Amino acid sequence: MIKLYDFELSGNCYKLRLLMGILGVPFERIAIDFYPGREHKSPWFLKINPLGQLPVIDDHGFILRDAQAILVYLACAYDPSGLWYPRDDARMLGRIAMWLGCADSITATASAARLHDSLFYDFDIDKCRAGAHALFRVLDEHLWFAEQEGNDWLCSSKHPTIADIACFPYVMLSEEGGVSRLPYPAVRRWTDRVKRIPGFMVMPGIFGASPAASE
Amino acid sequence: MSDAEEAIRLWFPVSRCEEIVPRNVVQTELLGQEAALWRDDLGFVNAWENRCPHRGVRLSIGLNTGSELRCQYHGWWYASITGQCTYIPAHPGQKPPNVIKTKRYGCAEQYGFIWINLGDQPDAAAVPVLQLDSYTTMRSVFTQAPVDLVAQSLIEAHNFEPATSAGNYILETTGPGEKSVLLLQPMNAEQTVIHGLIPSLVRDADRLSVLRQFNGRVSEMRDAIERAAA
Ligand code: FES
Repeated sequence: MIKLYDFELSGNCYKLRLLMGILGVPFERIAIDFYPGREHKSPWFLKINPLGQLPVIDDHGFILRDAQAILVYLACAYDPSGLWYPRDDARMLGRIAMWLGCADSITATASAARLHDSLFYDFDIDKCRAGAHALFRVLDEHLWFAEQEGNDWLCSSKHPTIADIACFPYVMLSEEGGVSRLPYPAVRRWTDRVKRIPGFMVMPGIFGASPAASE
Repeated sequence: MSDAEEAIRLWFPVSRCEEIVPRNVVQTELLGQEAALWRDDLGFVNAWENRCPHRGVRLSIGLNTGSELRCQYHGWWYASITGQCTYIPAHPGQKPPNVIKTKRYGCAEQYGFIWINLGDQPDAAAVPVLQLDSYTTMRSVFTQAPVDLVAQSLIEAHNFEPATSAGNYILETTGPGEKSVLLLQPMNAEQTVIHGLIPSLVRDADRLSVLRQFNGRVSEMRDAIERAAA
């Protein structure tokens, strides 16, 4: 079984639980005491990931770090439909890579603001929040026009991709870092759609949605 | 009467109608008051103070079940239209007292927007009348600047003028030809939403490119206004 080195409150760990849950891939969680224990910086864990970061997976001896990289791997290895990471569609792959990069920027801003507010990290909080708002503004405009074109998801497809999973958690947790999503109504509609993907699961701070109206 | 007291009596657009989608809750703010907007499955739009009568948690993080809004915190249910609390999970056998109700704001649909009124006696006949034959709503643009500064810049630097006698909340393009109209929603002392109406499009095929163009122009104005406000 896949082992996930995991921390319950990490959005980057959660996105892997989320994708594996949706794809129905069984996995075992190995809880790492990220806070307050700083176990991800301990000598034994640095042997697994010299960067001292979560998450990491171990798939029968194949060890991979970096949440976005792991999403790519999981979709390629475990999604028989090929829809979450359409390997033969050059434009889709380009778009997915672009939004995975954006997910990293959201981590560097919205997630950093949350670490500052809830786990007392020493970050420039105003800069983190301003950076998150700048990204959310782009995201909201993108999603608004996607809706106008009849697309529900980030990469202009009829089916969600790993890009939606990658960007979702730290957008959803932004208010724990003092970043209000009130100015981004198209983002709210998109997060509701993500919550209605069959197999969706929650984490602390992220609630489910009511069921969609039956047609 | 001060401007603030006067504004409480006015109607303001707070969202495009089509963005109040089923089973969703929209969080907005008007004159410093947060509101939760939600549409029930029969199409009725509710505009409530964004505050659960139980412990004050934001209703906008709650669940729209199609007939009631359920608070995310302790799960109390509030019925569409009346705002009456109909169920308290901690006391499943008891009918909740009639006094437990959400605070409802005046709410109207007009020109493709949801308008709300924070006053005690909202009169739907007082929603502003616009001289428009047919129109399309554009993407609403959030602006980090107070409403006075937004209105002043639009008038002085971007060729808009007041469209009604009721202050600078409704502006239209100057000059001949068909008018575009901007409707300003004062969120609070620091933020304003710019809503827009453009003359209806002749060919539907052009719709997206016109929306993109207009959104691009208003976003540029927004950027200039935000630089001035910073
Ligand atoms: S705060 Fe809403 S039910 Fe308790």
